[in-house]
Amino acid sequence: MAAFGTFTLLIALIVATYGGVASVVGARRRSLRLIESGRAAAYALAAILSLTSVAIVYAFVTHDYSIKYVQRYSDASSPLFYKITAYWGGLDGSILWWVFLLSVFSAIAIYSNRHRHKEIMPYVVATLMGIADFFLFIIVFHKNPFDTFLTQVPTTGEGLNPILQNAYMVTHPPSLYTGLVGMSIPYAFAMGALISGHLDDAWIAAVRKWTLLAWFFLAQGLTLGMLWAYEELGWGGFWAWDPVENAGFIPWLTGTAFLHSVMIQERRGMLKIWNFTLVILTFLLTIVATFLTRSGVVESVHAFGKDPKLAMMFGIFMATIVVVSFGFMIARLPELRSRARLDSWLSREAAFLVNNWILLFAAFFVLFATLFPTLSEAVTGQRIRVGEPVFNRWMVPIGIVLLFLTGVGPLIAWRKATPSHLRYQFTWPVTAAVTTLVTLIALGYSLQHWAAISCFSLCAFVTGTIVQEFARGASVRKRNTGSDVVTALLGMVLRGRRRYGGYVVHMGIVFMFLGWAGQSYKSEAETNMVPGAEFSIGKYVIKYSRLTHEEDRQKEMVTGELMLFKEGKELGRLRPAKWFFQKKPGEPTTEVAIHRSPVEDFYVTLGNYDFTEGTAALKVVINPLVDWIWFGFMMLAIGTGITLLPEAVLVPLAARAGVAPVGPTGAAGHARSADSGLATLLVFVGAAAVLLGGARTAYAAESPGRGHEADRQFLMSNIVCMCGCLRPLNDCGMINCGKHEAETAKVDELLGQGKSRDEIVASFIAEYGGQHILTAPLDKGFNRLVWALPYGFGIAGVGALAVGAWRFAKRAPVSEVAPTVAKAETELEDRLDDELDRIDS
Amino acid sequence: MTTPGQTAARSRKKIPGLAYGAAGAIAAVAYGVTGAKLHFGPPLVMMGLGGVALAMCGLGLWRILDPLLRPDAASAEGPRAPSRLKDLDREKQLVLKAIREIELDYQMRKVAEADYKEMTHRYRARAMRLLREIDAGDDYRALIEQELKTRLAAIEAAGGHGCATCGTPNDTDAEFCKKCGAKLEARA
Repeated sequence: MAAFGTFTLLIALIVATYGGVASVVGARRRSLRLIESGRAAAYALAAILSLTSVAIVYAFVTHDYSIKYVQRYSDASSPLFYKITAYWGGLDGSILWWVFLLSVFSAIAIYSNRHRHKEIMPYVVATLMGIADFFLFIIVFHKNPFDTFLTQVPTTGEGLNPILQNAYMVTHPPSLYTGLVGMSIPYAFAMGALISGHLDDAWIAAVRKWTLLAWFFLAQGLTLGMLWAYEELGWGGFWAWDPVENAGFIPWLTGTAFLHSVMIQERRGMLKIWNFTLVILTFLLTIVATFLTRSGVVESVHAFGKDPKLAMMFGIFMATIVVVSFGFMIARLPELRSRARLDSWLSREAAFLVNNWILLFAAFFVLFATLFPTLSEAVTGQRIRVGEPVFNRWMVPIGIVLLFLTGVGPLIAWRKATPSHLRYQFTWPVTAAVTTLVTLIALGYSLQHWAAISCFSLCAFVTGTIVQEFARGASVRKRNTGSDVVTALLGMVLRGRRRYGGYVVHMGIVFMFLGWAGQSYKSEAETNMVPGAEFSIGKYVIKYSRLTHEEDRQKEMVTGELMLFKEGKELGRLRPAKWFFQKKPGEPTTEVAIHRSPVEDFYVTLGNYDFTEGTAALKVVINPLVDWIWFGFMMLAIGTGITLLPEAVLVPLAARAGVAPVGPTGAAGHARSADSGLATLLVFVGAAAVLLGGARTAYAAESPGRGHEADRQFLMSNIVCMCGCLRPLNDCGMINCGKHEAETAKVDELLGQGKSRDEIVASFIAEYGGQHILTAPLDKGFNRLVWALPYGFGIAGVGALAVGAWRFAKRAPVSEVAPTVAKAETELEDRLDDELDRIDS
Repeated sequence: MTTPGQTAARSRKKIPGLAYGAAGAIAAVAYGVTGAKLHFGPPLVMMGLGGVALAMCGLGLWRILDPLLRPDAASAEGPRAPSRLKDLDREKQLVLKAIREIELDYQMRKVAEADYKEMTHRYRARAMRLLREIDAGDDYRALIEQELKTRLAAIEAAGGHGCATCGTPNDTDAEFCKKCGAKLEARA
């Protein structure tokens, strides 16, 4: 099987290379048969790599341990499901899986566009085959999953890493890969357009759905990753800015930016250069993500090991992408000039631009902070950590501003908003936000959690926006069609799938923000319990009855039996456990017990235990609103589904909803107001100031006032537990790790001796030989860069916006000359009106 | 236009695609049961899938070679009128929808009247151009002539832009006569 697999990989490499070359030569020489042959090579590649995939899964299910990869990632006792999914469980297989997905997506994209975009398709094929070539090259020459043992074939397998034996972990990588790989298709079309010089909007139409789908899968991958972290790692949280998760998050951010800015190009013919840049960047970042995960450049709980040779190959590939893509773009710059221009900074285009700017800032900040430890190691020779304090300082205010823009965008008009429009559109959403804010403060919510409170208010604001959009849209449609509200609403959503699907996605994002804001009110405790004991936290009481021990073919399971009560009412049984897999007894997995509710989750993990006395150490976390994140993702999925709904499904549905509308009536005419460039500039500078000021406040919140308890809290959240969990001391989920207790004791001892915060930090650095003991580097020397650079980005961005606003404000408005219509056209006009009436019926 | 022969060749290719896959699966499963003595289970299923993939590989490789073995002209697909018209129709639908969306925005009081009129006008002009193209179908000549006629009519309607020296009609934005090179008078 090994020889057969390697053989198919070699053939795949040859076919991919041939496909790329034949397409380019065919396009240059205008030889249809070469183009057709190149296209067929893309289909053949998908078939060959399917065969390779079948071969490797066959090796897994037949326990062919002569293949190193199979031996390392499976064993005979693991369930069939995990044997199949072990395909992408390791480094070599995951690269094969990447290129397999790429080949399948390429085949689908090429097949569905086979009769369209004739000029750009050969280059699309060539680009896709080029990408496939790179990955096949790595597989064939460096990371062949079919490598065999030369001598002494083992008789048993090592088995998949136990923490990966979880349904979420099985689905998390494939959806993340689907998202990452899917972004290659928009890139290939963009390159096709750039190389062939057919720079109209055709490529955008071809890739919009692909981008949305890839974007959705990235979101799904990230959410599943969060669920996995929440349920499997056992520290009570779900997102810790782990480099590998960040790697998937960064292209998601730029993809989000693209999905918004593409609307401006479709609607206004603007931002062509920007959209090409975003597509190229997004693709580049997917390769960076693949690289980060696989090269050992970053340290993570679930990165694959170090591999300098692979890092170099990826480095060359990324450099090639940058040079080739931007090279073609620069060559085409004169042809990419925009047809229209920004009329006002108080318009939806401008709001989208600001949203793009912030998303891009977020993407680069996360990338920079993720890579900073590597950079710092290269410059100072010291490995440091850039953890939550650094990320939260920037990402919290960025998130809040983005949430605000989510609400603003749909309300502002294209081209130019007038004050009376703004009043009409903003009254209700702003009322909702203010009411929420006042209510929260009246209910005694402390302003210390400023981020959470503003988040709740903005959630109300965005919800107000969306509800208003649905309500007003439905009422207009009801008036136009004379149908009832439900029919009007249904007809409206079906007719404006992109718009209303997008709103549903926004609603999903609002729910996710609710969940994140809830984290500010998280509470947790640790307790050591004897059978029959009770422990109370908040309104909850847990009663511990006993410890049980079970065993199956694969593992031993130690389970604590608990009963949960809330205000005296029994809520049910909880069974936190630890599983010891026979193949990896040193790596027990934490099986969390969760009692879920919309208000809060009650979350318990089992730590140390003692069978002789029956005692168990438990960690209890109360996580408010956390389930809204998963619910929000469901909304996001539904919204994406609405947006992607094909026309064919809609015809029978739409036929039932509504009749032909009459022309636009009733709306009042509004005079154009003078362009107040300076005023709008002030608005945006103000928004940026909120962002920067917010960042400061966030940092201030990280370091509360002096005093013994405050110092202890600061140290506990800033010193890393050295057990390998990479969490701060007060957040280590591995209760029996042995490290955090010793480190905590040392903190207490030094505090007892009257040492200051800085002295204690210095003593930890001295003891562990570097700043890697800290969750975030000290704001000193080279490492000051990680704190300072985002300010640089922010100020540069504000400067760019200011210059842009000033220039646009200065320009005199140019009236676009409308072509004159000859008399003979009136007949055509009538036909157009007829068609317009028909389109809605 | 596709000739009947080509259509037949295409449909000849299409049906075997699935048949090949099925044949590959049957052959592989038959080999699995008789040759490798497999019972029903994951390995046999994978063997069957392998058969499908292998058949598809064969088909794919054949399709790479097939166009190369034909003379270039024969593989030319020609202007595929139906799909071009379909594309035009799709584009027309998009433009019509855009007009509808702007109307909705206007009715929801998001767009000022002047902007609404300007954007609708632009989209309507595009929709009409598409309608004309669809009407002309594959008759490019008619399309071009009609376009020329429209533009000339527009120039004439605007009062023409004849050269004072030789009388040749010129484009509205021309600064010099295209025949004699004399400088044209600037138009108001």
